[in-house]
Amino acid sequence: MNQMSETKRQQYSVDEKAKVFDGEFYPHIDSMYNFAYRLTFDEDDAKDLVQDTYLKAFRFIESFQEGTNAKAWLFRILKNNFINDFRKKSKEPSKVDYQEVESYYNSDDVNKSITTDLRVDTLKDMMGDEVSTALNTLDVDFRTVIILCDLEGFKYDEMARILDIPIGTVRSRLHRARNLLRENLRLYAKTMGYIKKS
Amino acid sequence: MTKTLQSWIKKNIISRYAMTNCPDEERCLHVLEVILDNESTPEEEQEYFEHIDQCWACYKNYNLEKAIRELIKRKIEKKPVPDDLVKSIKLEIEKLVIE
Repeated sequence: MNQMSETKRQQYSVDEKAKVFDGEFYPHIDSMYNFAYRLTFDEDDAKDLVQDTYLKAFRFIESFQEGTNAKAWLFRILKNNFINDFRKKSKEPSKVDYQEVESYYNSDDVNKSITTDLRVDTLKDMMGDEVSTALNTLDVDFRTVIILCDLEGFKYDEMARILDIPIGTVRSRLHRARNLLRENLRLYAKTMGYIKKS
Repeated sequence: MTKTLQSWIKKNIISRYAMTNCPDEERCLHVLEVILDNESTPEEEQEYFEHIDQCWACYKNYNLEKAIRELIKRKIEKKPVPDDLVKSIKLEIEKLVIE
Protein backbone atom coordinates (compact mmCIF):
# COMPACT_ATOMS: atom_id res chain seq x y z
CA MET A 1 0.00 0.00 0.00
CA ASN A 2 1.85 3.06 -1.19
CA GLN A 3 -0.47 5.24 0.90
CA MET A 4 1.51 4.39 3.98
CA SER A 5 4.99 4.23 2.53
CA GLU A 6 5.80 7.84 3.42
CA THR A 7 5.75 7.11 7.14
CA LYS A 8 8.51 5.46 9.13
CA ARG A 9 7.66 1.98 10.31
CA GLN A 10 7.02 1.46 13.98
CA GLN A 11 7.10 -1.94 15.67
CA TYR A 12 4.17 -2.92 17.91
CA SER A 13 3.73 -5.88 20.24
CA VAL A 14 0.31 -7.59 20.42
CA ASP A 15 -0.53 -5.64 23.59
CA GLU A 16 0.62 -2.38 22.04
CA LYS A 17 -1.55 -3.01 18.99
CA ALA A 18 -4.58 -3.56 21.23
CA LYS A 19 -3.73 -0.36 23.10
CA VAL A 20 -3.53 1.67 19.87
CA PHE A 21 -6.83 0.23 18.66
CA ASP A 22 -8.63 0.93 21.94
CA GLY A 23 -7.05 4.32 22.57
CA GLU A 24 -6.68 5.79 19.08
CA PHE A 25 -8.67 3.83 16.48
CA TYR A 26 -11.97 2.68 17.98
CA PRO A 27 -12.90 6.16 19.30
CA HIS A 28 -13.30 7.21 15.61
CA ILE A 29 -15.71 4.42 14.72
CA ASP A 30 -18.70 6.76 14.83
CA SER A 31 -17.18 9.17 12.27
CA MET A 32 -15.88 6.27 10.19
CA TYR A 33 -19.28 4.59 10.03
CA ASN A 34 -21.04 7.82 9.12
CA PHE A 35 -18.46 8.59 6.42
CA ALA A 36 -18.84 5.06 5.04
CA TYR A 37 -22.63 5.35 5.08
CA ARG A 38 -22.55 8.68 3.24
CA LEU A 39 -20.32 7.13 0.59
CA THR A 40 -22.31 3.92 0.09
CA PHE A 41 -25.88 4.88 1.21
CA ASP A 42 -26.25 1.34 2.54
CA GLU A 43 -25.98 0.23 6.16
CA ASP A 44 -24.53 -3.21 5.38
CA ASP A 45 -22.01 -1.82 2.89
CA ALA A 46 -21.02 0.83 5.42
CA LYS A 47 -20.45 -1.86 8.07
CA ASP A 48 -18.35 -3.95 5.67
CA LEU A 49 -16.36 -0.92 4.59
CA VAL A 50 -15.59 0.07 8.17
CA GLN A 51 -14.71 -3.51 9.13
CA ASP A 52 -12.36 -3.89 6.12
CA THR A 53 -10.77 -0.56 7.01
CA TYR A 54 -10.03 -1.65 10.60
CA LEU A 55 -8.65 -4.98 9.38
CA LYS A 56 -6.34 -3.16 6.97
CA ALA A 57 -5.36 -0.81 9.80
CA PHE A 58 -4.40 -3.88 11.84
CA ARG A 59 -2.38 -5.43 9.00
CA PHE A 60 -0.55 -2.20 8.22
CA ILE A 61 -0.29 -0.81 11.74
CA GLU A 62 3.52 -0.63 11.47
CA SER A 63 3.01 2.32 9.11
CA PHE A 64 1.08 4.21 11.79
CA GLN A 65 3.13 6.46 14.06
CA GLU A 66 1.62 6.63 17.51
CA GLY A 67 0.57 10.12 18.50
CA THR A 68 0.02 11.24 14.88
CA ASN A 69 -3.40 11.92 13.42
CA ALA A 70 -5.15 8.53 13.72
CA LYS A 71 -8.46 9.81 12.37
CA ALA A 72 -6.92 11.12 9.13
CA TRP A 73 -4.89 7.89 8.77
CA LEU A 74 -8.05 5.75 9.12
CA PHE A 75 -10.09 7.98 6.82
CA ARG A 76 -7.43 7.63 4.15
CA ILE A 77 -7.58 3.85 4.32
CA LEU A 78 -11.38 3.93 4.25
CA LYS A 79 -11.41 6.24 1.22
CA ASN A 80 -8.92 4.02 -0.67
CA ASN A 81 -10.89 0.93 0.30
CA PHE A 82 -14.04 2.52 -1.04
CA ILE A 83 -12.39 3.46 -4.36
CA ASN A 84 -10.66 0.13 -4.86
CA ASP A 85 -13.34 -2.29 -3.72
CA PHE A 86 -16.73 -0.76 -3.19
CA ARG A 87 -16.95 1.62 -6.09
CA LYS A 88 -16.42 -1.21 -8.54
CA LYS A 89 -19.28 -3.18 -7.00
CA SER A 90 -21.73 -0.37 -6.38
CA LYS A 91 -23.93 1.48 -8.81
CA GLU A 92 -22.16 4.71 -7.94
CA PRO A 93 -21.52 6.74 -11.11
CA SER A 94 -17.95 6.70 -12.33
CA LYS A 95 -15.45 9.25 -11.12
CA VAL A 96 -15.81 12.63 -12.74
CA ASP A 97 -13.23 13.74 -15.22
CA TYR A 98 -11.27 16.27 -13.24
CA GLN A 99 -9.68 17.86 -16.24
CA GLU A 100 -13.17 18.68 -17.34
CA VAL A 101 -14.03 19.94 -13.87
CA GLU A 102 -10.89 22.04 -13.60
CA SER A 103 -11.49 23.61 -16.98
CA TYR A 104 -15.09 24.30 -16.00
CA TYR A 105 -13.88 25.78 -12.76
CA ASN A 106 -11.59 28.13 -14.66
CA SER A 107 -14.29 29.15 -17.08
CA ASP A 108 -16.79 31.96 -16.71
CA ASP A 109 -19.64 29.48 -16.23
CA VAL A 110 -18.77 29.03 -12.59
CA ASN A 111 -19.52 32.68 -11.86
CA LYS A 112 -23.09 32.27 -13.03
CA SER A 113 -23.91 30.14 -10.03
CA ILE A 114 -22.85 32.75 -7.50
CA THR A 115 -25.83 35.04 -7.79
CA THR A 116 -28.57 33.27 -5.96
CA ASP A 117 -32.04 34.08 -4.69
CA LEU A 118 -31.50 31.72 -1.76
CA ARG A 119 -31.94 33.51 1.56
CA VAL A 120 -31.00 32.79 5.15
CA ASP A 121 -34.71 32.75 6.16
CA THR A 122 -35.39 30.11 3.51
CA LEU A 123 -32.68 27.83 4.87
CA LYS A 124 -34.22 27.97 8.34
CA ASP A 125 -37.40 26.32 7.02
CA MET A 126 -35.56 23.40 5.46
CA MET A 127 -35.93 19.92 6.91
CA GLY A 128 -33.11 17.48 7.55
CA ASP A 129 -34.22 15.23 4.69
CA GLU A 130 -34.04 18.08 2.20
CA VAL A 131 -30.58 19.04 3.36
CA SER A 132 -29.38 15.42 3.23
CA THR A 133 -30.75 15.02 -0.29
CA ALA A 134 -29.03 18.21 -1.41
CA LEU A 135 -25.73 16.77 -0.16
CA ASN A 136 -26.32 13.18 -1.25
CA THR A 137 -27.12 14.06 -4.86
CA LEU A 138 -23.67 15.62 -5.31
CA ASP A 139 -21.15 13.49 -7.17
CA VAL A 140 -19.20 11.37 -4.68
CA ASP A 141 -15.98 13.39 -5.03
CA PHE A 142 -17.75 16.65 -4.29
CA ARG A 143 -19.80 15.06 -1.50
CA THR A 144 -16.62 13.72 0.06
CA VAL A 145 -14.90 17.11 0.42
CA ILE A 146 -17.98 18.64 2.04
CA ILE A 147 -18.24 15.73 4.49
CA LEU A 148 -14.55 15.87 5.38
CA CYS A 149 -14.47 19.63 5.80
CA ASP A 150 -17.88 20.63 7.18
CA LEU A 151 -18.96 17.52 9.06
CA GLU A 152 -15.65 16.03 10.18
CA GLY A 153 -13.71 19.28 10.55
CA PHE A 154 -10.56 18.21 8.69
CA LYS A 155 -8.11 20.94 7.69
CA TYR A 156 -7.10 21.44 4.03
CA ASP A 157 -3.71 19.72 4.50
CA GLU A 158 -5.33 16.71 6.18
CA MET A 159 -7.87 16.46 3.36
CA ALA A 160 -5.04 16.62 0.81
CA ARG A 161 -3.39 13.63 2.52
CA ILE A 162 -6.64 11.67 2.85
CA LEU A 163 -7.57 12.22 -0.80
CA ASP A 164 -4.04 12.13 -2.29
CA ILE A 165 -4.48 15.44 -4.07
CA PRO A 166 -2.66 18.81 -3.76
CA ILE A 167 -4.07 21.44 -1.37
CA GLY A 168 -4.92 23.68 -4.34
CA THR A 169 -7.14 20.94 -5.72
CA VAL A 170 -8.79 20.48 -2.30
CA ARG A 171 -9.67 24.17 -2.31
CA SER A 172 -10.96 24.26 -5.88
CA ARG A 173 -12.95 21.05 -5.39
CA LEU A 174 -14.48 22.42 -2.19
CA HIS A 175 -15.36 25.68 -3.89
CA ARG A 176 -17.05 23.86 -6.74
CA ALA A 177 -18.79 21.46 -4.33
CA ARG A 178 -20.19 24.37 -2.34
CA ASN A 179 -21.48 26.08 -5.47
CA LEU A 180 -23.25 22.86 -6.44
CA LEU A 181 -24.63 22.34 -2.93
CA ARG A 182 -25.93 25.91 -2.82
CA GLU A 183 -27.57 25.35 -6.21
CA ASN A 184 -29.18 22.10 -4.99
CA LEU A 185 -30.53 23.86 -1.88
CA ARG A 186 -31.89 26.63 -4.07
CA LEU A 187 -33.63 24.14 -6.37
CA TYR A 188 -35.19 22.35 -3.37
CA ALA A 189 -36.33 25.65 -1.94
CA LYS A 190 -37.91 26.50 -5.26
CA THR A 191 -39.63 23.11 -5.57
CA MET A 192 -41.01 23.41 -2.05
CA GLY A 193 -42.28 26.89 -2.80
CA TYR A 194 -39.93 28.62 -0.36
CA ILE A 195 -38.71 30.71 -3.28
CA LYS A 196 -41.20 32.15 -5.75
CA LYS A 197 -40.82 30.73 -9.23
CA SER A 198 -39.55 33.36 -11.61
CA MET B 1 -28.85 63.46 15.56
CA THR B 2 -25.58 62.85 17.36
CA LYS B 3 -22.36 62.47 15.41
CA THR B 4 -21.94 58.91 16.73
CA LEU B 5 -25.37 57.91 15.44
CA GLN B 6 -24.72 59.57 12.08
CA SER B 7 -21.47 57.71 11.70
CA TRP B 8 -23.12 54.41 12.78
CA ILE B 9 -25.84 54.84 10.14
CA LYS B 10 -23.24 55.73 7.51
CA LYS B 11 -21.12 52.72 8.36
CA ASN B 12 -23.85 50.11 8.80
CA ILE B 13 -26.61 51.17 6.49
CA ILE B 14 -25.73 53.76 3.86
CA SER B 15 -22.29 52.46 2.95
CA ARG B 16 -23.50 48.85 2.66
CA TYR B 17 -26.38 49.73 0.38
CA ALA B 18 -24.01 51.87 -1.67
CA MET B 19 -22.44 48.71 -3.17
CA THR B 20 -25.09 46.21 -4.17
CA ASN B 21 -22.87 44.46 -6.71
CA CYS B 22 -19.32 43.49 -5.87
CA PRO B 23 -16.85 43.90 -8.73
CA ASP B 24 -14.71 41.18 -7.18
CA GLU B 25 -17.39 38.80 -5.89
CA GLU B 26 -15.67 35.59 -7.04
CA ARG B 27 -12.43 36.40 -5.22
CA CYS B 28 -14.38 37.52 -2.14
CA LEU B 29 -16.22 34.18 -2.11
CA HIS B 30 -12.90 32.34 -2.14
CA VAL B 31 -11.64 34.39 0.82
CA LEU B 32 -14.95 33.86 2.63
CA GLU B 33 -14.59 30.11 2.23
CA VAL B 34 -11.10 30.17 3.68
CA ILE B 35 -12.34 32.28 6.62
CA LEU B 36 -15.29 29.97 7.37
CA ASP B 37 -12.96 26.95 7.14
CA ASN B 38 -10.68 28.57 9.78
CA GLU B 39 -7.75 28.53 7.36
CA SER B 40 -7.39 32.29 6.85
CA THR B 41 -4.65 34.69 7.95
CA PRO B 42 -5.52 37.60 10.29
CA GLU B 43 -4.78 39.97 7.35
CA GLU B 44 -7.28 38.20 5.10
CA GLU B 45 -9.90 38.39 7.83
CA GLN B 46 -9.31 42.07 8.52
CA GLU B 47 -9.48 42.96 4.83
CA TYR B 48 -12.61 40.85 4.31
CA PHE B 49 -14.56 42.20 7.27
CA GLU B 50 -13.67 45.78 6.36
CA HIS B 51 -14.92 45.03 2.84
CA ILE B 52 -18.28 43.56 3.92
CA ASP B 53 -18.92 46.67 5.99
CA GLN B 54 -19.21 48.46 2.67
CA CYS B 55 -20.41 45.78 0.28
CA TRP B 56 -24.02 44.62 0.47
CA ALA B 57 -23.48 41.73 -1.99
CA CYS B 58 -20.63 40.25 0.04
CA TYR B 59 -22.41 40.92 3.33
CA LYS B 60 -25.33 38.84 2.01
CA ASN B 61 -22.96 36.10 0.81
CA TYR B 62 -21.29 36.02 4.21
CA ASN B 63 -24.58 35.46 6.04
CA LEU B 64 -25.79 32.91 3.50
CA GLU B 65 -22.59 30.85 3.45
CA LYS B 66 -22.42 30.88 7.25
CA ALA B 67 -26.04 29.74 7.43
CA ILE B 68 -25.40 26.90 4.93
CA ARG B 69 -22.48 25.60 7.04
CA GLU B 70 -24.64 25.69 10.16
CA LEU B 71 -27.49 23.99 8.31
CA ILE B 72 -25.25 21.13 7.15
CA LYS B 73 -23.87 20.61 10.67
CA ARG B 74 -27.27 20.80 12.35
CA LYS B 75 -29.59 19.02 9.93
CA ILE B 76 -27.57 16.10 8.57
CA GLU B 77 -28.59 13.16 10.70
CA LYS B 78 -25.89 11.08 12.39
CA LYS B 79 -26.33 7.35 11.95
CA PRO B 80 -25.84 5.35 15.13
CA VAL B 81 -23.05 2.78 14.82
CA PRO B 82 -24.47 -0.78 14.89
CA ASP B 83 -23.94 -2.28 18.37
CA ASP B 84 -22.14 -5.35 17.11
CA LEU B 85 -19.67 -3.59 14.80
CA VAL B 86 -16.71 -3.19 17.18
CA LYS B 87 -17.30 -6.71 18.50
CA SER B 88 -17.27 -8.21 15.02
CA ILE B 89 -14.10 -6.27 14.07
CA LYS B 90 -12.40 -7.57 17.22
CA LEU B 91 -13.40 -11.13 16.31
CA GLU B 92 -12.00 -10.76 12.78
CA ILE B 93 -8.75 -9.34 14.16
CA GLU B 94 -8.46 -12.29 16.56
CA LYS B 95 -8.80 -14.62 13.56
CA LEU B 96 -5.97 -12.75 11.82
CA VAL B 97 -3.75 -13.09 14.91
CA ILE B 98 -4.41 -16.84 15.16
CA GLU B 99 -3.61 -17.34 11.46
